[in-house]
Amino acid sequence: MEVVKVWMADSNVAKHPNSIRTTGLGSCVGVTLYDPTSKVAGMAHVMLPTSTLAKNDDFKNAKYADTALPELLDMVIKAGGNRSRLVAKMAGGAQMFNFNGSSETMRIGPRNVEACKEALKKLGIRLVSEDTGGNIGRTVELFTDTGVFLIRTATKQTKEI
Amino acid sequence: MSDPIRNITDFQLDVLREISNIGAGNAATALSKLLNNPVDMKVSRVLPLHFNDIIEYVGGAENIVATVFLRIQGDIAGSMFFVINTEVAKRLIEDMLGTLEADDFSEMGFSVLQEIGNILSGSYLTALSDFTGLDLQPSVPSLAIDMAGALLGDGLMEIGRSGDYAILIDAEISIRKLVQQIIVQNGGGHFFLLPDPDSFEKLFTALGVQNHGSS
Amino acid sequence: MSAKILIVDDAAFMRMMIKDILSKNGFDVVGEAANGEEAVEKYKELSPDLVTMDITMPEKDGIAALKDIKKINPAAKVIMCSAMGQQAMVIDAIQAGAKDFIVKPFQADRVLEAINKALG
Repeated sequence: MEVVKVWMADSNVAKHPNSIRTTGLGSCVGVTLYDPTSKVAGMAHVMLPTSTLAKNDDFKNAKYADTALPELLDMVIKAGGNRSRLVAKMAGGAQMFNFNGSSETMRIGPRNVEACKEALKKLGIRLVSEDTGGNIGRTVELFTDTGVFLIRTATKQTKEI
Repeated sequence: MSDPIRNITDFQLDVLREISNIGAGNAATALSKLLNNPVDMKVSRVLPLHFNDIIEYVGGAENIVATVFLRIQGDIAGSMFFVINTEVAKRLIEDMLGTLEADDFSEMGFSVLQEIGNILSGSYLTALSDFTGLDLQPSVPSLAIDMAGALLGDGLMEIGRSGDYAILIDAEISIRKLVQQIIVQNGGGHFFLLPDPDSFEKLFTALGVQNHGSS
Repeated sequence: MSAKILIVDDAAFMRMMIKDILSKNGFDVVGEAANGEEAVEKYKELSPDLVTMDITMPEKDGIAALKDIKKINPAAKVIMCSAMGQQAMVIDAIQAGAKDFIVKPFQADRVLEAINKALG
């Protein structure tokens, strides 16, 4: 079994029996699409909520929630996933630094979560579980065998959703 | 429009190194006074790095570090990070408070680290500001101890709007007494300055250095 | 009778350090504030003889708080204490009515000297 790695502002797919993982999610959101029948999974490490924030046209779709999800869906379908069977899970969207005062940058975590949920809704994909918010960093891994989404934090605590 | 960071010239990188050393020198003096202990701070690296490489640079996304982060506003915008590993952080706190520090850090311990970050960035920016004549204001610095990927990733958000590269200006901090106690693997700390891409032109203009070569 | 001092800084550690220096040298620390808003409230409440004021703070920064305090009492004695020591900032502070400007990290002597001078 191999672990497919997803970097920041990146996305990828994994087929059974591999798992797919991304590390160090702060305000970024790790969102996954999984087809339990074909056991295909896709994951995107989303950094920002909307591509309207982009200052130029040359960017990886995975960086922004609104462009990441449609692309991830395509990737998963190409890898053998069936759209109607897909379920989504997500984690992240924390606020790592507590700035008092209303700097928009510092609300990015919750905004990323909202944007990913919006994007999933638009695509008609059901979000079945999430571990979002708070102020801790997370590492996440999705196992294609079981569809289990494993989340680990700095304190070494783990959670499966 | 091309990414100003990818097009930066060696000459411009040298200029950044020069002025950052001025900032680092001032910051080292300030920290020495605070710790009552000689501190060296020298710019070891100035280069464009992909975000992923920046995170690897600090030991990988899952490496637990203590980070004080702040944004610079004013004539130039950017991010500043003071990054040290947790062992060094504990020793620093113990030095300052004279009491042993637990693994999960006390509230006063957090305050010590936060203030160290504040003083480092304040003296760095003061020197930079006085030298360039630019108005540079720090945001309130914020401390977090967690995975490097999560912490640095957050600081890179703003730069992420323009691309996937940042100019990393790394000033390595070595606190002489501490280096003897803690093994060289991570003896000291790093002070990163990551200017927002739009800032370079202003900075180079303020220094009277023309922005060679980028369209 | 010892002079009453209000200490303003968002870092608990810094407040502790300054309080230590002051109380060991015959001053009476009557209060502490962690941001500019609190600083103005405490000033009204405690009427200290002198205030030590950090600049970079949440809610309201030190310069804004200085100005507010000066409105309440034009004779108020405030000493700025900051990690930021740029010329422009120092000038701003003095023009807004600060008695002195100390750059962090400071030596105890420098703080005491500034306070004694300000209290005149």
